Formats: sequence, structure tokens, C-alpha cells
Amino acid sequence: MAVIDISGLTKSYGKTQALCGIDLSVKQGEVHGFIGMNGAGKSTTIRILLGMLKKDGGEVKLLGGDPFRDCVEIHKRLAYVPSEINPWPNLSGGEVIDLLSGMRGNPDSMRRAELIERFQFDPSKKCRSYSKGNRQKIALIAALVSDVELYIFDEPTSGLDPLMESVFQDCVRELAAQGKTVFLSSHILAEVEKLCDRVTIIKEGRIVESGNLHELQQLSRLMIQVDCARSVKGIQLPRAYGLRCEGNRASFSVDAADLNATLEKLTEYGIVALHCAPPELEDLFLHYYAKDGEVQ
Amino acid sequence: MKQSEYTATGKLLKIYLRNNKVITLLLIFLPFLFAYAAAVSNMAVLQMPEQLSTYIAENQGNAMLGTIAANTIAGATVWRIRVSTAIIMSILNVVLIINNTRKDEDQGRLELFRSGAVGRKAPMTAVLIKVFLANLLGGSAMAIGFIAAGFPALGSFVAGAATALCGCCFSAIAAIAAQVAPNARLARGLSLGTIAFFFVWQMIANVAGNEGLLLWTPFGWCAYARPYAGENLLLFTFALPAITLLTVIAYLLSDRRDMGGSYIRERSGRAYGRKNFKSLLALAWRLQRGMLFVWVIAYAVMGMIIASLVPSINKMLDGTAFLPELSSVLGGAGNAFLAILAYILTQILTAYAIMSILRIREEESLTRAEWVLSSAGSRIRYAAGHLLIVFLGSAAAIALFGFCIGDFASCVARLPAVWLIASVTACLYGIAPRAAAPVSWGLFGALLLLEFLWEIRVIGNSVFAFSPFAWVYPGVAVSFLPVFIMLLAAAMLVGLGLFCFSRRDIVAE
Repeated sequence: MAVIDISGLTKSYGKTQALCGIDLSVKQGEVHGFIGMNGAGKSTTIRILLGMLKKDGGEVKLLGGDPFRDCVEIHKRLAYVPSEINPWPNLSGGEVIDLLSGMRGNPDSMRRAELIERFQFDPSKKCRSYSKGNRQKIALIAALVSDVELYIFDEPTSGLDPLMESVFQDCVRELAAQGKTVFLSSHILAEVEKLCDRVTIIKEGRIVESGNLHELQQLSRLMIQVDCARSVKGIQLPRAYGLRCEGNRASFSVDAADLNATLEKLTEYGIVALHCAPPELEDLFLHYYAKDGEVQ
Repeated sequence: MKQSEYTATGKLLKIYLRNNKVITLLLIFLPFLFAYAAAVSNMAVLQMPEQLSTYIAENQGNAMLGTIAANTIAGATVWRIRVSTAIIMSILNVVLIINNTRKDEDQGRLELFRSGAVGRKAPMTAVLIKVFLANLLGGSAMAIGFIAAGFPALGSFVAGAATALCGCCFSAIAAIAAQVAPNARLARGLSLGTIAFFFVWQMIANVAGNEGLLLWTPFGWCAYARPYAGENLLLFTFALPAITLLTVIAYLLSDRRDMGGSYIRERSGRAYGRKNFKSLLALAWRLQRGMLFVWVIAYAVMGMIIASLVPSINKMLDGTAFLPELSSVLGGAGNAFLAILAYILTQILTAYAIMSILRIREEESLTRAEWVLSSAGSRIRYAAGHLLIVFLGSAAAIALFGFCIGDFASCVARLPAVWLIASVTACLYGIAPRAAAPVSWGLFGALLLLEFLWEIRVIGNSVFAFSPFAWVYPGVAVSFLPVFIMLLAAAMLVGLGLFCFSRRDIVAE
């Protein structure tokens, strides 16, 4: 069953077209990465999912309901961490956590204590005196303490230190193990790569790629680095992209279909070492962003 | 004293001069306005020597304002305005100093400055130079106001200087508070508390009739300096060292703490929310109650003070030609005076209602609305909670005031006008959130202007009738129909606002 099901969604702010007909599907139990640069439309999509913004066109289903019309009922079944957090300066961190989680239902006090311990958070300070990272922790704990079906995170680790980032990643893995659905919008690609089963890449209001991360990596070009017995200077590899030659070493990327022909050519130089790797998410991302959004 | 500690003071001074322009200009020009206006009106009212001597005899020994030292119009005028001018200047000083010290520090601007080639003491020095200068100009403006009205120059300058020094003294106190307190809010509170303390001290000194005590409160300085009554320049040999000492203390405290540090620890909050603190109404109450308490208490206190003054007001106005028409309608000049006062307070209460409703918009633009609403909160409940508190709060304030002055019914009968204007703000918030603040304040200002134009007879009754205030104006017999229509219109506007709010985009910026 699809927890999030979006098709042909459009939204514009005045003359700016923020979303130009996006399709997105997130299945139950999946950890889905939603990546794109600033201003690509990530937050707009999430705000439509939360019923904060009204769609202009297209279909949106969230947990089987209409995110705008049924928002209160749906929100009881999800938890959200916004990208920008401005807690009320005269409330304590603990009060904000209890307020937000309490509105969704009765949270487990053991779980609350456990999360506060894991994130090393002091809930008894006034929000005005928390640092950026600690404000982020308020939102994370308030969301994670609720036992819900869907967790939506909008750049959840901005401001967190690496140690807390890994605590967050552990929490997400635990949610995934319990069969919860996680929708993670981020531009920290290493994090998405570590956590997500599937990713969707959005660019300028359009989805440029969506699918299983592993498959995406298989489908796209391989990164090749070859050390040869003699200098590769002046070598011609017509099917290779981004060829760089330094002394005896050539590095390039190549479509899987052209791998054999390219390597054949290289054997003439006497291959002594070969390193072949699927592209990292960052390469994929940069690739899509460099190519005017056209899917290869 | 190392010179490098003051590097870039001049550059920072330029930046600070561009900040808080309105408050700075008020600090400079209000003293002139007060001095000149009071002088001119007293010269008109107290022309005859017997008028002056009765005035002085009646007011001598007033607890709030002290004794009138000089038996001249100049003496009576400076007596009348010295304390109020000093209080207003002191409050402006506190706001200016805290904005450019602790508030800048809270919001990280100070760190930005100090990370540049800026001496450690430069930011505070620049702020103090700016504010001291503004006080000096304000004091001179006050002196010029008196001189322009024809008062003796020496006394005028002594009065201006004493008032300016009072302002400087409170800016030094605010600079100390900025070091001591952990945040701007508390620093401002501490400084205003000090103002209240010294004001009470001044009243005690007046009641005790002890001139020596006056020296120890900046609000007594102007009286102590005896302008127009054999000026006592001894004041300056006390006030200047006192201000210097306070400034030095501020610098010492600043030197001995870290950036962002403080001598008072930030009060910690509750680790757990209260059991019933998990609804939108509870949150709205928590956010609105501070401002609500201030207004309700202020109205109750004003009511009590006015009630205690009613006998003397009646005596004072008895037989005078104070608003004859209104007095005859309401049965006495005292009643007319009370009705006008209650009416003006109703109008001011409208500002509270507008301000508090706009608070919802502020929550939205700070992205808090989105955060709360995504935690299973209904939009209607969210907005309605705030509105409920504002509507009931404004009712409580005016009802308490009416109860205190013993005119409950007619005070409460004015409430629909407040609610109607407030519901325009609520409606605008629902339909066009960005326009809510400017249009609401614009409308409020336009209604006051309309009333002014009606009072000076530029426009007629039929035009003024468009203002809700026209229907609750003092002396107008409040009848059922207009009240009912206003309530109905208010209910419809609120309903429309809530309906549109539940259907529009939540916009953060």
C-alpha cells in the first residue's frame, strides 16, 4: 500500500511555478529519500503533504486520505520535523516536547526518557537559551516519541553534531525495522545513502529520477580507474565520459553497455590494476543536476 | 587603559546612529514638545497673578510631583512636567540601551561585530556615546522649549541638564542590567523595575518633604536643582560622578564576563509540561496571558486611581464650563469627565485587541503555526483559541475598569465597538495575512482621524456614523439596535476569517 501517493501535483506562488507536475510514491515500510537543491520544491511538497499548502492541481493521497481535508485525522498518524525550528522562547524544551507529542496522543514516557538520554538533551532549559542543534533535538524528540505510521523529516540533521547525526540515523533504522514509513528530505547525500531504500530526486519542481537506490546506481555509468604498464597519454576512448589521463593512470566513467569495448582498447596498454565502482549518490545527483534535468 | 580596546568605536557609532531612529528622535524632541506646550498653555491659563497663586496653593505638596519651588509661571510649568518628562526619557533610554547591547548580544550581532577588528570595549562605548549625546540634545531641546516660551535662560538650562542627566543615569543603569541579566527581556525588566523603584523613592521624598532624599533618586534631580528658584548647581557635583561611577561599574562587569555570559543564571523551566498543557487553547493562553495580565491589571489600577480621584475631580469641575452639553446630558461635569476617560480607554483597548490578534500572524511567519498544526491541531481551534482569549480579555479589562469607577454598564456597552474593529483584523488575518497588520493599523488610525475631523466639524454626523466609535461616543444613548448590529457584524467577520483561514495556505517567511 502506498503511504504517499502523488501524481501530477502542481503548485505555484504567483508567477513562480514551484511544482510542475510531480509524481511520487512511497510504500509502506520504506525509507524514502527526497533529495534536491535548495529551492527545488522539497519543502513545498512536504507542506502540501501536511495540508499547510493547497495544491493547484494533481492528485495527492496521504495515508489513504486527502492531506488538506482530513489533515487533523491524518496528523494523528504521522510526525513531522520541520527544517526551520523557532520554539517559543519562554517555554522549556520539555514543555514543547510534551505539548506537540501530547496533541498527537499520549506518548510513552519511557520512550521520552530514552530519547532524551540518547540525544543528551536537557529538557529543563527555556527555549531561548538553546543552541541551534538543541532546538533541532526538541523537534526530533517530539516527533520520535510518538508511535505513528509515518515520519516526515525535512532536513532533520542541520545543526546536529556528527555524534547526534548517528543517533538520529540509528533511530531511523529502528523505525524501519519496526516497519514504519520514513520520508526523509535532505541534501546531506551521505545520510540519504546510508538510510534510504529508495530515493527521489527533484529539480526545479520536476522529478528527475525516482527508484531503488541500488538499481539507480546499476543503471547509470560506472566509475573506472585503470593503471596501465605504459603511459596512456593521447589515448582515444570514444565511449568514455570525463576522461582524465595522468601518466600511466586513466580515470573515466562509462555506461555499463560500453564497458567491454572500452576495456578492450585499454588492454593494448597493458592493464596492471583496475578499480570499478558504481557511482555514489553524490555523483548521481550531480549528474542529474548537470544535465538540465533530462533523465539519461 | 589600552587604546586597542576602543578600536572601531567611531565606525560602530555610525552604525548605532542609524539604528532605532524613531526612539532616538523621540528622546530628542519629546522634551521640547512637553516643555514648550506646557509653558504656552500655562501662560494662557495662569495669566492673572491670583490664578497663579491659587494654582500653586492648590497643588503645593503633591505626592507625585513634589513642591513648586518658584512662585512663577516658569516654576509651575517645570514642576508640572519635570517628573513625567524624566520618566518618559528614562524609559526611552532603557529601550535604546538594551536594544543595542543585550539584544544585539542575544541575536548574535555583537559576536559579528567583535569578530571584526573591533576593540573589546568599543560596542558599549559607541552605544553609550550615542545615547548620552541624545540625552544631551533632549535636555537642550527642553531648555530651548522653555526659553522659546520666554522663561529665564539659566533656569531653563538647569532644568534641561538635570533631566538629561536623569536619562543618562538610567542608560548607565540599563548598561549594568545588560551585563547582569541573561537575556534582553530580563535586562529590560530589571531596568524598568529600577525606574519604578526610584519613582517610588521620589514620591516618598516628596511626602517626607526631605530635599536630601531627592538627591538619591534621578527623578528628584530636577527638583533638587531648583530651576528658576535660586538654582542649586550642587546637583551636578553629585550627578556627574554618580553617572560616571555607574558607567565604570558597567564596564567592569562587562570585562569580567564572557560574551553571552551573565551574572544572573537563566531561570530553568519545567522538564515536563503540565498535564493539561497539551491543547491549542492551552498554548494560546500561555502565549497571550502575559500581555493580557498587563492590560487587565493596568485598566483595573487606572479604574481604582480614577475612582479615588472622583470626589476631587467633581469639586474641581464643579461650576466650571467643562463640556456643558455633555455635562447636562450625563448629569454633571464629573460624570462627563469620567465618560470621556472611559471612552478614550475603550479606544486604546482596541489597540490591545489588534496587537494580540496579530500575534497569531507572528506565530505563523515564525513557522511555529506549521509545526503545531502538523501535530494534529485543527486550524479553526488554533485561531479561535487566540481570538477567544483576546475577546474575553478585552471584555475583562474594560469591565473591571467600569466596575472600579462604578459605571459598569456603560463601559461594557462600548465593548462591541472594540470587538468589531478587532474582528476586522481577525477577518483580514484569515483572508490576506500579509495585509492584516498594515490594514488593521491603518483602519484604526483612519477611525481616529475621522473622529478628530468630526470633532473639529470638518465632517458631519452622517460620515462619522461609519465609525463604530460614533455609536458609543460619550453622551450617545447606547441603544440595542446598533449594539446588536455591531455584534452581528463582528461575529460574521470572525466567522468569515476563520472559514478563509481554514482554506488558505499557511505562509511562513
